[in-house]
Amino acid sequence: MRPLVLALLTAALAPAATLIQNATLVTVSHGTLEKASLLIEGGKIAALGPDVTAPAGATVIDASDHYVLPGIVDCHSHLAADSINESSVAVSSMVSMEDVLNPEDISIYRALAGGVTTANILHGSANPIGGRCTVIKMRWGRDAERLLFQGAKPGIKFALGENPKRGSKPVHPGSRQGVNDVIREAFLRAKAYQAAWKDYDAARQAGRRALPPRRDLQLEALAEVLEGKRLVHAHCYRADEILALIRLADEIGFKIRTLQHVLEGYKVADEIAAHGAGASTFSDWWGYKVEAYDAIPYNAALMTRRGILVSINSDSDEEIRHLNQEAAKTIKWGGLSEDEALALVTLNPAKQLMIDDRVGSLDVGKDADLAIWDGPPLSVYSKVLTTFVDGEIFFDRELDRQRRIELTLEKQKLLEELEGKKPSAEKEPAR
Amino acid sequence: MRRLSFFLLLAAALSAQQPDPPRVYAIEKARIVPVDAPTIDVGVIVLRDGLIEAMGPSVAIPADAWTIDGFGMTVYPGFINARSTLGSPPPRQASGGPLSKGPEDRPATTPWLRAADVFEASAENIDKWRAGGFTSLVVTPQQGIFPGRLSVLNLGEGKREALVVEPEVALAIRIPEANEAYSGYPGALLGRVAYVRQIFLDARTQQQALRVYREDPAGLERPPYDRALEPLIELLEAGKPALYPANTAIEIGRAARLAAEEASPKMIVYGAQQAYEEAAAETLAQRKIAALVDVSWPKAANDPDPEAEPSLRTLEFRKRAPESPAALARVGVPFAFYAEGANSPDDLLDGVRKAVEAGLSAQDALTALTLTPARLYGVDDRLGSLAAGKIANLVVYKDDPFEKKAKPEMVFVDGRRYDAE
Repeated sequence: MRPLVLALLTAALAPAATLIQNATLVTVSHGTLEKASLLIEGGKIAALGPDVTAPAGATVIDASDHYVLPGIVDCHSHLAADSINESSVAVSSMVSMEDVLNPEDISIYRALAGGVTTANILHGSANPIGGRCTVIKMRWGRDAERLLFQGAKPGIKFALGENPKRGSKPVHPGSRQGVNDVIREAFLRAKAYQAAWKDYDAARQAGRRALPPRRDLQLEALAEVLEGKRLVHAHCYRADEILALIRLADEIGFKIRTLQHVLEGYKVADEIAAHGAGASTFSDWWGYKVEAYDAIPYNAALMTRRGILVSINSDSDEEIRHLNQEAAKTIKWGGLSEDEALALVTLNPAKQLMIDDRVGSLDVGKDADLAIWDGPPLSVYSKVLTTFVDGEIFFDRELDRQRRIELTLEKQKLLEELEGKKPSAEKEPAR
Repeated sequence: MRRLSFFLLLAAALSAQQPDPPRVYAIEKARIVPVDAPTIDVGVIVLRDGLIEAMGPSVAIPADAWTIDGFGMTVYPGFINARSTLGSPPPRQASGGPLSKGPEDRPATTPWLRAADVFEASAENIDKWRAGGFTSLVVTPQQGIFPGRLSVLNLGEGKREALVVEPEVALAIRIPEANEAYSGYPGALLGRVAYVRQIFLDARTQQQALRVYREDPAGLERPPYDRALEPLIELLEAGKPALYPANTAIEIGRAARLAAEEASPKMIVYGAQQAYEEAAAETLAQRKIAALVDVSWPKAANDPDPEAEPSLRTLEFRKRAPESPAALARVGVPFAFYAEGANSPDDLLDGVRKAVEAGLSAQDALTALTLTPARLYGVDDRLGSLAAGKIANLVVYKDDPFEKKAKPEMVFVDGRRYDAE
């Protein structure tokens, strides 16, 4: 798929107004509306309900028998990134995922085909304090700058347990205590850094001569955490390491925004809730390493019932395509309601990322990030037909079928021209 | 073809030893393309003591000049290879080496080096490039992330000091695929970009700190000496450019983003083979970033896996890369040429010819080989065009230089004549 061509194609598909009518609107925030319509204007949801009509010139999409779901938000992804881990140091908060975004990653397009419109792009878990994270929208075909979710708070990755303690010595810690120590020591340096700047500013204001402190990208990110300007997303598994991080955060004075994976979260749900951390977990994926053994599929439901803001994430370019099914599993394992289950992959991750004023549910004034499904979104049989971001179509199943033929022909032509290859009937569609 | 004045003949005849080469030449009846001024259809160009002395349709030929009949020939400024590794020590790929625990350890950072100081090319290689029409190279050091500064050298003769036109014209930045001669930080693309950002922040801090301190050191702790930062501060103060790698549209976007940051120096991207994408060329135009285009165009591997089929994107890249210079010209981005890994001037000129076939005008191609690199490196007061007072670096063709297999008739470097064999 050629991003530029598709960008031009989709630009043409962004009319002033679009009305999706006769649909079942699964708002997530206020129930499900049967035989209702949703109006998109200026990239936002302008109106929704049973009596909404199309203004003159609007494109009308008839969605009889179809469902409209807010765009899925994935709170843990590594797609669209050319580099994941800066593992050479124990504290890599100077690096940023924004620097390595790859807008041509086909996983963006595949995520759109699964109804996903937003993802939190995280640094890897090789170090106790990892790199800066960024929230993107799946604006397939646009450049890296335009992938960014403007206005979303930046994040940072922390990691506990096996991953950060297995790195090469002496750069990396060798135990869970060591991991905590690295984090504590880094924050102590960050506080000294804040103090140095404060002293400098005070000296300048008093008219005293002073040398400027260095702008340190590593400590600047941690100072932002202390000031509440940057969200901490902490990779963790075991109950003990979760408690240890909460204690450390309370001691230092920062907030953990989300615990990621958090497979033993059900054991310490009250403590997590008391700290105010969200939990972003898998539906039923565990046992892939020692620290991921003591997990249960009831985790998401149990944590929800104890008052934690819970989301289900993919951490995978494959799983991101069916997060609706991952959410559905919590109905079987733990008895969540349909709305509660859907919130795990829409409104809740939006709240965790503090972008719920913009996305996560079908509400007037929010960004028109949504997908039309051909059946109930929690069903394994349902597929996405069309995905909108900011009111623009970035995936359409029918259009995709047509494009596959065009792209296959285009590729064949180039292969003949550049490599002298003859057409072959059995080739897979072009990628 | 040539006509010696009687005086010179006599002088040569009287001299028993190998005569010194003439110090004065006049090419007459030639077409002259100064590049930054209108073409002179028939004119004279006089060279004296390594410089252009006079040029015009009716310039008097000095009595002491060695006159060359330029009928049917065109005189151009000598070509400039805008980024060459000729004579520059190759990078050491070996991993290991000192452990870098962070940007403070200044891994693979030697910006104080100058390509001119370590330039070592065989006379044979210099002859080869000169015979292909190139009179100057902008040589880059190539070890590490901050390998040093690029130097402009003339492809003349003698000791390396005699070749240097300007020892430091730009700062080289590389984003190596793997750690080169260090271990540790930065170990990935993430860290390499962050390191470049941090070191320019450090240079700005140091610049400010030294200013305050040197005013009056009393009562102030001295700023720590940092050898790596001094050349960067010089670069920032002189407004000289840093060369940053960016070949694909994605990389061009990343470079533009970095260039827009407050602490960044003026940047020129090198690579730019996917600038045929409108968005990439536009980005460079909007941010006023110039480009060095690598004309070693992408092609299939020599012995590819027969089962692996390249993606449509890759195929498109191979087909369209030579359109990049024309795309840059369309949006007004200044660009010059080089060829990564090129062993001969023909490799580079063949790449330029492909760009001309793909829509670049011959005039734009010529400018990119002469005036634009001279301007980008701040040596256009000496090189890159033909005008009285400039260095006498010339290339003379009978045919259109962008025709296949076109060869120069003669080349002048620092006013010294070299004939085609």
